[in-house]
Amino acid sequence: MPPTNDHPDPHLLAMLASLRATEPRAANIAAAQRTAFQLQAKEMAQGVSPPPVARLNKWRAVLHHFTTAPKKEPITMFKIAISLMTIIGLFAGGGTMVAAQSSLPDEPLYPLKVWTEDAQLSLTGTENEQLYLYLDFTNRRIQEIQTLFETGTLPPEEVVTRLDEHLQNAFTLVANFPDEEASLELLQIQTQLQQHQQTISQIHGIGDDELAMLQIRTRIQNMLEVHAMLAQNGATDLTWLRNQLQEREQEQNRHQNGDGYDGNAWTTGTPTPGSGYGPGPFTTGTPEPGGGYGPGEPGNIQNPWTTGTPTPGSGYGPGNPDPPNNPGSNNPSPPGNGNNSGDGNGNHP
Amino acid sequence: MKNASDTQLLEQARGFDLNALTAIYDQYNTGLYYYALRLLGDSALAEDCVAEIFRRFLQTLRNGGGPRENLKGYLYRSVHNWITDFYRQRPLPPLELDAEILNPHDHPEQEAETHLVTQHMRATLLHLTPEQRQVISLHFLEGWGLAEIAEVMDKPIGAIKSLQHRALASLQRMLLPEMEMQ
Repeated sequence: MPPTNDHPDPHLLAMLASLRATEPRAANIAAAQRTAFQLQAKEMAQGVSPPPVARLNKWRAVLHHFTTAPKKEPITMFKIAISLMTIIGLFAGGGTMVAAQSSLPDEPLYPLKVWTEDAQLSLTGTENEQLYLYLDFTNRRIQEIQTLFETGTLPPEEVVTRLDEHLQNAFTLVANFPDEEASLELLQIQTQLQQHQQTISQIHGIGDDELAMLQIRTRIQNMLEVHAMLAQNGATDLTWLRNQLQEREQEQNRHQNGDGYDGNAWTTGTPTPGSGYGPGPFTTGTPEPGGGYGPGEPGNIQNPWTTGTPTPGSGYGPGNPDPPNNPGSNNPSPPGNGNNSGDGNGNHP
Repeated sequence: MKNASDTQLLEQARGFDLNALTAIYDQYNTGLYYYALRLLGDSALAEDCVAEIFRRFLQTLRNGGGPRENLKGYLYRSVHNWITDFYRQRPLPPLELDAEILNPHDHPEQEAETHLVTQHMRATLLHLTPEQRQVISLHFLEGWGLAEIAEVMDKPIGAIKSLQHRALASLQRMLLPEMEMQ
């Protein structure tokens, strides 16, 4: 008779039963094994942190119940339905997202672009990845500004502000990196910023409001120059960079608290004569006549903050290449070298 | 199978609570030893197997892995896998019994005969597939219910019944000459 589950062959069962009988375990060996296990456990216990609080993941069991048949056979139709819904969702929502990525600030989809950038940042785990995102977004802002200028549109204030925020956040992140890594990143940032400076300086946009365009362009150039100098000097002296960032934070806090501060060197507002914003040596003090910052002497035609139309030799841009340590030049003085004073004409003593 | 005390013990064991780890060891080491001994037929090997299983268990817990429930099933499955690996590394014992060895006139001692039968039975079990062997050993040697085995092997109970049926048929085919002698 062939064996069945209910009626196995009795001889076979008898032979199997022969395996059940075993010699008793040696007590001394069992005790030694137990001690060895305890020692191993104690050894491994060192450095093990307490278990985390149990996660509320019972929903997995529920989901598992609905997505699998009782015998673990997958429900094919359910998976097909999920796949279809995903594809439809991607086509419906994903297309809009993709379209938004190439939108300009004056287009309706631009807020979606900004939102996706913020979402990307919030989903990014490591500081390195966040830094690269900020630098990538900086590139985007520059391209947007360039396109807007070239089409004769004034870049909105929000775009310039956002550009400034990206740069500030990037520097804040870099300042927290280990010294060697931070220096390397700063050098790369400096190169990137110099390219942006070049891009902005080569823009030949013509708009209705030339004065406003010039002001905003100058402001962006100054902003890029300030950060390029921060990167350059910070790469060689990280302590200085960290102090600068700390001071900037304190100034911003004071500004937000409304304690009478004006002339913030890091302001994102439109620069005005005497505002203190510009390519100066990062002082946080209020500019004074003859201090080398801001408008200098009243009526001075080389005032870098004049609102007049720039003419050759007016003092805009890099200024005279001959005078050393010209605040408008691309060769800023290293921090703390004592050469920061000037006569307001772009010339230093 | 999924007993509450096991779940609590496991939670504590994850934090390397020595009392919990010792409690787990005390609860299961003897059963695992005899399970290994029945399939290996060598007490020293069985001790090695159990020690290794518990060492791996500690290592797994330390790495944040290990069972969330059904600790018993996890440990018995580990022993089964250890034994399967062990026999993969060496040739299986031959199935044929020496007729002289089985002749009661030449070897009258009952103990010796039983020992030989046991060895032969073990060798036969090793010629089953690992899954068939697991079902047979857990059901007929350890006395587990089919539902319990189904849970440990993560298979439907119908598949376990089918495995058992095929295993019994194979065993009978392999043991037929000896069974006819009896």
